[in-house]
Amino acid sequence: MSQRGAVAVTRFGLGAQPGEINRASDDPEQWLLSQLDTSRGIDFPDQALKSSNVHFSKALDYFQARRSQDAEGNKQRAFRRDVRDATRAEVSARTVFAASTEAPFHERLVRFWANHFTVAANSPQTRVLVGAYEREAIRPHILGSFAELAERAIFHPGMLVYLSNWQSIGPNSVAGRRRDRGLNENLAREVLELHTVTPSAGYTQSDVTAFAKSLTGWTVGNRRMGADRKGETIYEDRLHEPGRRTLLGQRYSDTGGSQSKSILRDLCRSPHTAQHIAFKLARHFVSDAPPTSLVEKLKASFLETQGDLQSLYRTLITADEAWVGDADKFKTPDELIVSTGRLIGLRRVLVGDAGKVFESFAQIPFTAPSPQGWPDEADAWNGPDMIMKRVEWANRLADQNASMDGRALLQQGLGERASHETLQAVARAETPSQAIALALLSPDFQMR
Amino acid sequence: MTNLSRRSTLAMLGTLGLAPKFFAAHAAELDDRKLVFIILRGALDGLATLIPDDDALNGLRTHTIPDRWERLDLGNGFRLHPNLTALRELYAQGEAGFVHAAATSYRDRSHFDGQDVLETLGRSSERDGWLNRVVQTVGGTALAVGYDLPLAMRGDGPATNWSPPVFAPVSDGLLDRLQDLYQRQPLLSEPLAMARATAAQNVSMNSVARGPAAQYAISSKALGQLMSADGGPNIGMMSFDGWDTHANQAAPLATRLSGLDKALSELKLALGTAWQETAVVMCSEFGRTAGENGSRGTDHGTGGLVTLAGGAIKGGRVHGDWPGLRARDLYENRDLAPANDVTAVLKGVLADHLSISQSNLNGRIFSGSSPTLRGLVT
Repeated sequence: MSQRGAVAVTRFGLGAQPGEINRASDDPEQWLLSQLDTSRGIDFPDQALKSSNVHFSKALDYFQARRSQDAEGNKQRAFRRDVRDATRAEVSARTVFAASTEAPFHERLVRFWANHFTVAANSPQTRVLVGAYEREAIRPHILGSFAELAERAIFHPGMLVYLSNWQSIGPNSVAGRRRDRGLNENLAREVLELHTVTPSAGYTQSDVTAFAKSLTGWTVGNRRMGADRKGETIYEDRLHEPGRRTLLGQRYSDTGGSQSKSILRDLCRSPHTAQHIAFKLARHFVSDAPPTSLVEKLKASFLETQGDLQSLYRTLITADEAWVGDADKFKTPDELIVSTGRLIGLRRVLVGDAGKVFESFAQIPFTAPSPQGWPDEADAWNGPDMIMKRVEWANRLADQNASMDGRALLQQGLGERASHETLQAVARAETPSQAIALALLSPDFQMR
Repeated sequence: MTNLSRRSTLAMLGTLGLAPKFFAAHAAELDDRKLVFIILRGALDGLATLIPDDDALNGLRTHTIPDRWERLDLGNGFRLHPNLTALRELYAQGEAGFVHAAATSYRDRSHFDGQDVLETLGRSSERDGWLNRVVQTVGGTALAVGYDLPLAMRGDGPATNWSPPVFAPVSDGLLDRLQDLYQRQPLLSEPLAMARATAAQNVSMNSVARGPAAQYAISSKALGQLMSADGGPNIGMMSFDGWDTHANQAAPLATRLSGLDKALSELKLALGTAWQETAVVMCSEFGRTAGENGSRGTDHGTGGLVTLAGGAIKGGRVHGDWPGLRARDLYENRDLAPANDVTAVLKGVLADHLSISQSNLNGRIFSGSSPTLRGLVT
């Protein structure tokens, strides 16, 4: 086992499974690179999970029935139960996979991008789409170009619904001239602000409006549009605001649905986007205050390769700054649960009610509080109550599994990253249970 | 989810009993006055909670409002849902009042966006909450009961959250060793110390809550105990979920209202003498439709119910305007109209109970200069 192997597994990966640090230590960089195999996206076990269009179709049917006085009590209960079951299945699939995958670096990247392009369950419509969105839009597309990933994310039904574009209507469109509903700028604003260039690009309100107009027409098929389009992303020209657009100084001709796609492509190429992505990636992997030199390297890679993600990851992995020994990132609740699951098995980790653990840690999967996604900085997750919840959880877990060996947990879980103080504290514990709790609650394990 | 800065962390430590001298130096201008904000997430059906004696209601509701003879008569043209017995008692004692048909400026019907508006009130671009701005203005500290800090409490002011233990309490032995192990990691040592200080408040807990309604009572009792303790927070907040009754609403609403009723009793009991100086404001992001939908429930609406409680409240009345329920009185032909402004109610409580000036109300806490509803506080 080596220090570098331990860093690879605990910082770049999702936390060590027993033996994993050993395996990675021969050639840690290669261990990481080998996980960027383009076939990786398809090994997620989703056979039992439904696709987004199926989910959405059912939801549309249900809401239609409820509106039209046609829904008896048991139809409601059945629908709500289906949604609950589907949600549980998605959370379970995702968590189990993360706890067992042999490509944890790949998995960390999936989660990073799903958070960057957040779609959260903040309504019944989005609740049925969040899991499928991550599987369909993000997971298969993190090894190509940023522009391609962005397009897949932004035009997926999950995003179109979450950020309300599916109901956005151009005021001068065929539909707009007849109806009361109008333009919704949510998606346009968040793509500019959060997904691509950020306000540093100096876009104005008219840029936001122009982009919003351009995006009109992109919606999700409903019943009226035919069974094969139901629940799928479609472009409806009669909802589209016609006209040429100018955005951030660039002109775009009136090309209907592809106009917004051209705009998005250009946004993805911007140096502001490169800077934004570089910073977020560096902050996610290395430190809440990442070294500027690392950010610069990532930005340069992004610009040189026009956002090729494999090159970007390679640049990250080969940067010295990414391998510094000290663990400077505080684990989010999700990361804590997954890393502990990888070490001792998920069954032991989700003490009592699985949902309760996520809930009490204030990070229920798929429920990020805003399009900004889950915060990446320590101060969002280390409030006094949150820390106490971790202590109580680890304490209970330790009591229920007192036959484990705290020192072995440190060795297998952290390798050479276990500090002298932690090793000593665990060795001097009063009871085996206390040793386990101290190991899991140690700064070394709470950080990565 | 921004959390405490180092400086406000220390302030919090002080108020939770670790450094009484520190707290005394930063005592709120409030003395003993307290404010509790309870947000009922999901949009409470105000019409089924505080039921008007209005004939127009007969044509609108069949399955979602209790029969007339079950309702608790308040003697002024309104009756309470039968499960709100404690609230009715408070009303009779002049310790509870209402503002019906109230809304924020928000007119769409998304919970997510509606709650954002209710929690930020006019300043949503800054992602900080109006309650945090209150505590920045009057001093003291703010505490939310729950697993994380709600948006209304977020900002630069000293606000933190607390929740009842989910698992068994932890021994001092482990906590001492952890504190030791965390010595060189302030990201862990500071919050652990603060959490221990709160636990030392001896908040008695039965952590096993059967059902969400029981949770309301547990949270309220805890908040009351924490706020009435020496050096406790002046501003408290709770979030009660589960009010989005789209289908077959009679039973779930009845259960939740029982829970709410119990919660108010527990809060009063736990606050003890502090209740006399407390104002509680309780509301949702919006109301629900005047009529029922086809599933024996109601859908998202506009005008909703604000409930006021506490010794500081001028109770025994329904304040503000009642817009009526005839077809032409409804908003967009479907909702109880927004005849009263939630911000005006909050301003009224803040001005009269916490003595916050108009300039602070309009310039610092809220934006714009909407009116202040007076007469809500004794």
